[in-house]
Amino acid sequence: MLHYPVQFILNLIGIVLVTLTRTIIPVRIGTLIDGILDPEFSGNVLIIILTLLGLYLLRNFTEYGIWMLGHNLGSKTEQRIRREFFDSVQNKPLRYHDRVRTGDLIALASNDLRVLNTMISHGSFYIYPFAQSILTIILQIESFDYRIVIFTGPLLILYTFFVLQYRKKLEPFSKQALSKHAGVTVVLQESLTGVQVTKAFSAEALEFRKFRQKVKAYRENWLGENRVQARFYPLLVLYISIGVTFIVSCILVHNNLMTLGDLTAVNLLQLTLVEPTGMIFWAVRDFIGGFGASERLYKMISTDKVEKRTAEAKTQRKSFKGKIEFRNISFSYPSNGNQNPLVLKNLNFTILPNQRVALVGPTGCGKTSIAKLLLRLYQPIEGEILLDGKNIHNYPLDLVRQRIGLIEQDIFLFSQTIEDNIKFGQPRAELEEVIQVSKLAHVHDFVEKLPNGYKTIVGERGTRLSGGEKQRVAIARAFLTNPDILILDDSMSAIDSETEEKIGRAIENVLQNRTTIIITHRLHTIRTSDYILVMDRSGGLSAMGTHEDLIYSSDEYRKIFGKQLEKVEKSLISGQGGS
Amino acid sequence: MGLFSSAMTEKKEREYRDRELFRRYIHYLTPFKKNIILIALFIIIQAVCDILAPLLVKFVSDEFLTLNPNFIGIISASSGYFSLQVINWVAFSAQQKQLGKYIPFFLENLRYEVFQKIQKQDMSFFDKRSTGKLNSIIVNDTLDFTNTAVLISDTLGNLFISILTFVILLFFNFVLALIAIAAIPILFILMYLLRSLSKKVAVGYRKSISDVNSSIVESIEGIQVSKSFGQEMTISLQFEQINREYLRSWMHLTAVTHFWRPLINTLTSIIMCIVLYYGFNMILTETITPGTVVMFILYLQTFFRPIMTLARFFPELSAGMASFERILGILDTRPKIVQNSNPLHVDNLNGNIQFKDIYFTYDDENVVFNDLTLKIDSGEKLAIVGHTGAGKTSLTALLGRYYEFQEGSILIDGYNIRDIDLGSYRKQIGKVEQDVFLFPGTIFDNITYGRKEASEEEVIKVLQIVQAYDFIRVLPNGIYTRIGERGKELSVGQRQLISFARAILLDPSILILDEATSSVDAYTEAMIQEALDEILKNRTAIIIAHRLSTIVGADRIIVMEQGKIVEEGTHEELLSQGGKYASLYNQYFVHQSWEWQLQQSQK
Ligand SMILES: Nc1ncnc2c1ncn2[C@@H]1O[C@H](COP(=O)(O)OP(=O)(O)O)[C@@H](O)[C@H]1O
Ligand SMILES: Nc1ncnc2c1ncn2[C@@H]1O[C@H](COP(=O)(O)OP(=O)(O)O)[C@@H](O)[C@H]1O
Ligand SMILES: [Mg+2]
Ligand SMILES: [Mg+2]
Repeated sequence: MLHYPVQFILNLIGIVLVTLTRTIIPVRIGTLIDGILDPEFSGNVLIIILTLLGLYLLRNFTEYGIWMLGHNLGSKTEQRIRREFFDSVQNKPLRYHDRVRTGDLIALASNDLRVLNTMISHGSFYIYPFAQSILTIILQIESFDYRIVIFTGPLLILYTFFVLQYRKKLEPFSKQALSKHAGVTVVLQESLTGVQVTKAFSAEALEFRKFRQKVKAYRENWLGENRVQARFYPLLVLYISIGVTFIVSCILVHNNLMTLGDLTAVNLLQLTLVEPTGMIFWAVRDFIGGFGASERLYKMISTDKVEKRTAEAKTQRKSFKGKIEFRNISFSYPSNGNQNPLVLKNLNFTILPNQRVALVGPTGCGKTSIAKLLLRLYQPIEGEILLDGKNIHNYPLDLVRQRIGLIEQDIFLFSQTIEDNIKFGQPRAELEEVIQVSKLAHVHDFVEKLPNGYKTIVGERGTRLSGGEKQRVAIARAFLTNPDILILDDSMSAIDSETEEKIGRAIENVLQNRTTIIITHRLHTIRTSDYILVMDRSGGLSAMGTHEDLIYSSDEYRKIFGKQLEKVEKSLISGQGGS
Repeated sequence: MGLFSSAMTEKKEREYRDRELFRRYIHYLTPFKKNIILIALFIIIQAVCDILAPLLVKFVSDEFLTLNPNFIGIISASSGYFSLQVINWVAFSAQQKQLGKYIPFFLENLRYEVFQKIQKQDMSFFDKRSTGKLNSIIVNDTLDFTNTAVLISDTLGNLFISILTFVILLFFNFVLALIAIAAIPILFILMYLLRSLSKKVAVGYRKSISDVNSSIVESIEGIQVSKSFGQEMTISLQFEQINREYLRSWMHLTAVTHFWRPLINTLTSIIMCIVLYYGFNMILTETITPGTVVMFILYLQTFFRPIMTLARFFPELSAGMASFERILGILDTRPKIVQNSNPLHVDNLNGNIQFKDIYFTYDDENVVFNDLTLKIDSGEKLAIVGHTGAGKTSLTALLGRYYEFQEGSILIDGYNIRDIDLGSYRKQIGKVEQDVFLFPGTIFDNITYGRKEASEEEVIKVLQIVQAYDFIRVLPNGIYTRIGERGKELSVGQRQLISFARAILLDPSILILDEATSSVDAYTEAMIQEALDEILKNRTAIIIAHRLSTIVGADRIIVMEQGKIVEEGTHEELLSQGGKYASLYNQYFVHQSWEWQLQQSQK
């Protein structure tokens, strides 16, 4: 709130103004009525009425002004925190994203922030009933009969007790409301993204059950909140206090222990508390919610540090030659504590500039992990990676990521046009450049046939394209950034061999002079690379060399060619002996 | 435009006229009419208490002013006053309770309805919509619409109160009462005019909040891409635009839906002053007594309070209607695939499949199949090869009935696919999709997704078949290891294996493997293949692959090109034909065979 001092001060002034007018207007009406009742009244009625009208208008518009100001303040705060939230989520390391639930983030970015906004927006509105009561009490303090305290005192204590009680009882529910809401968005998001699988397995009933469970939990919580609200005892105490005081005052007046004027004053005094009490009813909830929301947001923002960007060595370097060296690298994923087994073990290898290297190995051996380490998406737990002879951590993070192009295995496209997707790494690229890389990646072939061409929207994650088309768009996207090191992580698995070879040739001819790492299961591609790194199931490097060497020397490598090999292994060895 | 600005523009299904919206709004409320009326009643009771209480105070003061105050009267009046206060609270509490019996359930039912309706939609529905926006409709729009459900009781109650006070006013003075009521038509005309404006801004607001949601979804799911390209800043900047738009639309909504406050306040203030002025003149001409004017003013205030609530009705209702319209947009979207009212339950399919003269296009623009005819015998293993985009996946999508084809027919065991009960039918098709999707949760939950009753042993058995048990066994929690959204925390090949296991566990009559092992190494694949031969016995299988080893053993291979079958036959037949397949084989597949490698090496 302190980010917006002007609004804040204006708001305060407005509150004072409204409080004053709200207190003065009844007084003015009172004098007017007195005037009407008084036959000797000589003021100018019209003027009195016009000033009254003036006061009314002043009140109305300041009230609206404050309302808008409060909302402005609330919304600005909401917007600012949402931006902070978004930035922080964007810049958190991948290990955070491995675990995060998208639905949770949706809830935080919409519901929690809205609740926080409500607290701030309505905050000032809650103030003036209280301010007004205090003012009225001060104005009427002179006519206050202290004997009444004997009766109202205990009730006032009771009142305070119940207000606190109300807050205490409401707190768990109003706080839970946020996480229950998030519970609904989480199951819903999962259900919506997995809809195709749900259909395939006719598991609609199961999904509905999951959803119903969360919606029910949300409703139950709401009912709990409602139960507390329906027993809003502070108001009851106040009403009883008003009633009791009235009866007692009547007796006192009857016995001439009190004047009639005092009776009216005491009555009015207590009545002024009704509106603030009504406000407590809402305000408590808004405030619990608002604070709960800020707590949740803060927790989300503060888990896991943001990736470091600033305190890094500055370098004049704009590009890399492309020499990569892994020295004694060991790695395990940090996501579930340190029980995680080592994914990579003591890796040592060197890739020379402009080499075309194939990285092969069985499923789950850690090939993708190597690519992720190169992009510094994760940190190795041991060893160092050298890029052009220098530790990769000594380069700015952005430089590393921009100069190393990764075509990931699990393609993600934004639900935008094909053109926007290809331009993702180079938003300012021209259409001609897009078309140029599209031709290389054989995107142009199929885009041409689309009625909207490059303006075709690909749907969420690219669902409206076939698997191979998606991969080709991703390849074009990486080509456009013209990286010094290109990593293709099994990125042609859905592409037929013919197209694959054409793209492969494009990489060789057009995108020459760069280091290329190809992770693949396609034998043809492996065979034709300059150098092959063979990994084994346990995450170690079992062999490296060229195809001709490895085919004889490495068991692991021969496995790449499938099962048949084991059967003929013997004959091969003997064949080799014979040649 | 930004990356996730309005890529999936929300196209309205159709426009709704106010009258229709209102009619359907009432329709949604009718089941709760008892609660609505009770709530209105409790509102009225509270108001009556508020009206009567000052009368009692007046009575007491008047009595005290008389020469001989009637003490009994005073005591009973003050006890009455006391009771009114208590009744007031009881009515308040009862109103809250009724609200609790009504609103949360209203919301719950609405959410169920929308959710179930969405579940019934076919895949073309989801292709065009972003999940974040659908999420926003099910969660936020239902909530906002529910808020309008309270409006109706408020309106009923307050309508009654204002009529009541108006009658009382009439009783005091006819002319002044008419002046007071003159405000009402003006007020309602103003509110009615404000209505369309408030709906417009509310529509903007609803849209922008769902934009926020969908951008969050996109940015989170695409985070690795953003990081790989170092584009987090761009994404953040684009999000900031959406964020700002959200702020703007929210401020507009606030400004408009609260504009009634100063408007009504001003109007009532003016009326108040006019009444005061006239009243004063009337006193001077001695047509009424001062006391009447005083009472009149007091009641005028109780008259205007409910009027204020009434006036809120239009703007708030219209704002709620913006949400309602979005909800209806979903509820009124007819799924293209509808179940026959008397569907055929098929529980033991033989797996005989026939595509007859299929014409199919996803979006009326790009024709995928034109006159496709294909027959697959029960128990046959059919392999499909072809370029990407040829329509291989689309073929399986039609078979699973995820999309509606426009012409032709598909027969399963001789039954028209359109007559078959989808639930029982799909359970007999095991499908390993090209785009693997796993749910967050344990590996076990994922594998048993289609058959919740499966035992641990069964799960382990299918995992062994797909060669996945080796790596799962060594995980700290074994098959109960939790995985992240979409199977994060597993390698892509591992995800494929899990999805493979999930399909096999179904024990399906028809198994579709759409590039099911594309990310799995050849060795593992070969092992799977061996185990699979056993599994595939007596099942129809459709195998799509780019790898020779996967297809070579099939009973029949078809080559697809741009939605047409250009060649078919066994591996040997196709080779001897010397067509597409043969050239494909000689150029690419042959490298993959061991014999060839051997030859090369021995050269
Ligand atoms: N984000 C992650 N968190 C935890 N474990 C992971 C994560 N990603 C992959 N793994 C595990 O690390 C191992 C290596 O994965 P990966 O490098 O993707 O294999 P691949 O060689 O198939 O590309 C696998 O056993 C996988 O389960
Ligand atoms: N959901 C969809 N909406 C619109 N077009 C689609 C959709 N899915 C696929 N297509 C288009 O249909 C054609 C066939 O795709 P598909 O069947 O996935 O090919 P593949 O043979 O590679 O599996 C492609 O041109 C693709 O762009
Ligand atoms: Mg991988
Ligand atoms: Mg496909």
